[in-house]
Amino acid sequence: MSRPEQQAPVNPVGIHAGVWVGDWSPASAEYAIRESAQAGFDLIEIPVRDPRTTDLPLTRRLLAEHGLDAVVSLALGADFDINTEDATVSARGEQLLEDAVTFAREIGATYIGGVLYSKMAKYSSPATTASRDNSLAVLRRVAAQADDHGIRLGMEYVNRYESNLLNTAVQTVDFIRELGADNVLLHIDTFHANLEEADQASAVRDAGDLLGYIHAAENHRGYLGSGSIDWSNLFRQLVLSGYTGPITFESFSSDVVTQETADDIGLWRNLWNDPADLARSANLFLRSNLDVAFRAHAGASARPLVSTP
Amino acid sequence: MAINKLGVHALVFSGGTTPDEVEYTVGEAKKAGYDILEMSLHDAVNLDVASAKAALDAAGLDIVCSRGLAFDADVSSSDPATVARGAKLLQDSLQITADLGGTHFTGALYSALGKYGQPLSSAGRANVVSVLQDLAQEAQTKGMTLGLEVCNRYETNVINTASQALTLADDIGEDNVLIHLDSYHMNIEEDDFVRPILLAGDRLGYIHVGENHRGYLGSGHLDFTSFFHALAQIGYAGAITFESFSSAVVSPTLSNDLAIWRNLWNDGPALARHAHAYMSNMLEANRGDL
Repeated sequence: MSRPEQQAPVNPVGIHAGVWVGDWSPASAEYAIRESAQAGFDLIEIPVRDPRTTDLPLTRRLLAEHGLDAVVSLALGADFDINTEDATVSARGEQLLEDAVTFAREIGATYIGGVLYSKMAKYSSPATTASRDNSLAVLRRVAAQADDHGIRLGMEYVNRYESNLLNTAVQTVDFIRELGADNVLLHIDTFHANLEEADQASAVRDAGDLLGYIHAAENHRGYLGSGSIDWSNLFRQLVLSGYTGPITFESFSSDVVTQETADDIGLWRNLWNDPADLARSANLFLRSNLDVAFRAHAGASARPLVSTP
Repeated sequence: MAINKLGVHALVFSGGTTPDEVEYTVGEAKKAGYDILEMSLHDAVNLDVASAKAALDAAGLDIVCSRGLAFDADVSSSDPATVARGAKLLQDSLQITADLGGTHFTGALYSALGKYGQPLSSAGRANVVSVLQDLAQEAQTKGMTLGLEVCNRYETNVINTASQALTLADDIGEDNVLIHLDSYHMNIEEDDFVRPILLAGDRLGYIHVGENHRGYLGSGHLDFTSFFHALAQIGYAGAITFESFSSAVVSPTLSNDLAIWRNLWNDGPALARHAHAYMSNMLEANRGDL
C-alpha cells in the first residue's frame, strides 16, 4: 500500500474568538472574523451563544466573506452540569448541548469542542460512577443528534481544577470508547496537558486516532513561546502521528474577556493588551513550529498520513 | 556534600494526624532518609501536639508547618470578621509550629487555598499586609520565619508569581518574611524555572519540589536540571521539601481542596525513597564548586 507523500503541513491553524472579543454582538462578530482572517488564520473558534438571540446568518455570511472556517466551543457551567446525579441540572445541560448543535449547524460549523462532559469548575469531591454514567448517557443522545447534521463533538480534557472527570488523554480515550459514537473525538489543550500529562508528546500518543483538535496555549496562557511549554516535543509528535486536524491558539486577557469569564478561568494577571500583535505572533509561531517539525520528520511518519475529515 | 536539608510532606504517608498516624509518618520519613517532616495544619484540631513533638524528637527530625486559610477565615477578605478569623487561625498555627519545635511556618498564609470567584480587592490586599506584619513581628519574638508560598491561579488570587510575592513581602516589610517557591506552581505561572529563583535570590526561604502532575519526580516533564542549577547559582542553603499527592492517601480536609482525583502512586514509602535519591542526586551534581 502506498503512503501518501505529504510535502507540507496541511493543518488548519485557528484562533479563539476570545482573543478579540468578549461577546458576539454583530459588531464583535464582524471585528473578530475580519481580524482573524487578516492575521492569517484559517479558522476561528466561536464560543456558543444562544441561537435564539444571535444573528446566525450574519456570522455565516461574514465567515464566507473572509474565507474563514469556524468551530464552536462550549464549557458547561455549574447550573448546566451533566456530570451529576441531579436530573434537573442535567436536563439544563442537555438543552445547552442541543442549543450548541443548533448554533453550529446554523453558522456552518462541523465541530463542537470543549468541556461538554462536565461543568468547567473546581469540584469539591471526586466524580461518582452515577455522575459519569449520566454524562455518557446525555452525550450519546447529543452525539446522535449532532451526527444527523454531520457535526462532531470534541471532548476537551482539562486540569484538575476545572473538572474531576477527564484530566488526561488516557481517561478521555476510555470515556470516548465507552460512549461509543464515531463522531466523538479527543481534544488536547496544551495548557491543561502541561499540568496533568507526562509530557505533550505522550498526550498525543495516548490520544491516538481519536485526536481531533488541538488547543495551543502557553503554560500561563500568554504569548506562545514566552513560557515553558516544550513546543518541539508537541509538534514533532503531531507530525509523527500524522495529525492533520486543526491547531487553534487560545489566550485570554482581562482587557478583552468579560469579568465573568476572567473570574471563571482564574485570570488574575494580564499578560497582553494588543490582540492584533498577539494574534500575528501566534500565527507565525504555530506555522513555523509546524514547518520545522515537519522538516525534522519528513518521510518518517509512524503511520499513514490520513486526513481527518 | 549538599548543605540543604531535605524534607517530605506528611501526605506522602498518611492523610490523618492521629497520634498513630503521626508516629507512622515520622518513622517512614526518617527511614526514607529525610531531615525534615512538613505537616499541614489543616487538621490541627485533631493533632496531639505533645505526642507529635515526642515522635519528632525521638526520630531526630525537624518540623516545618504549612497551611492555607479558608474562605470563612481569610485575611485577604474585605470583611473584618472573616479577616479576624483568618488572623486567629494564623496565630494558632504559628503557636502550634513553635510548640512542635519548628522555626518555619509557610504556605498560603495570605488567603484561602482555593479557587476564587473574583480578583483580589485593594482592601483585601491591605488586610493581608497588615495581618502578616503583626504575625511576622510575633514570629520574630519566637525566632521564627514565615514563608509566602507562591501558588497557582486556581489556589489563590493573591500571589501567583515570584515577582508578585516579592512585592507583597516588600509591602509587609519584615525581614523574617521569605519567599517559598514550588516547582508545581511555577510550571503553571512562571516563564521558566530559573528566573524566579534568581529574582528571589537571598530572600528565598523554602522550596517545594513537585512534579507537574504531583506524582513521581522525573515521571513528568519539569525541567529539574535547570531548577537545581538555579538553586546552586544563588547559593541556596535552605530546606528543599518533596511534595506529592495521590488519591491513594486521602486527607479528609486537604485532598478535595487540592483536587486530588487521580491515583499516581500507591506506595508512599517507596515514593519517598525515590524522591530523596532524586533530589540528592540533583544537589550532588550541582554543588556549585565549579
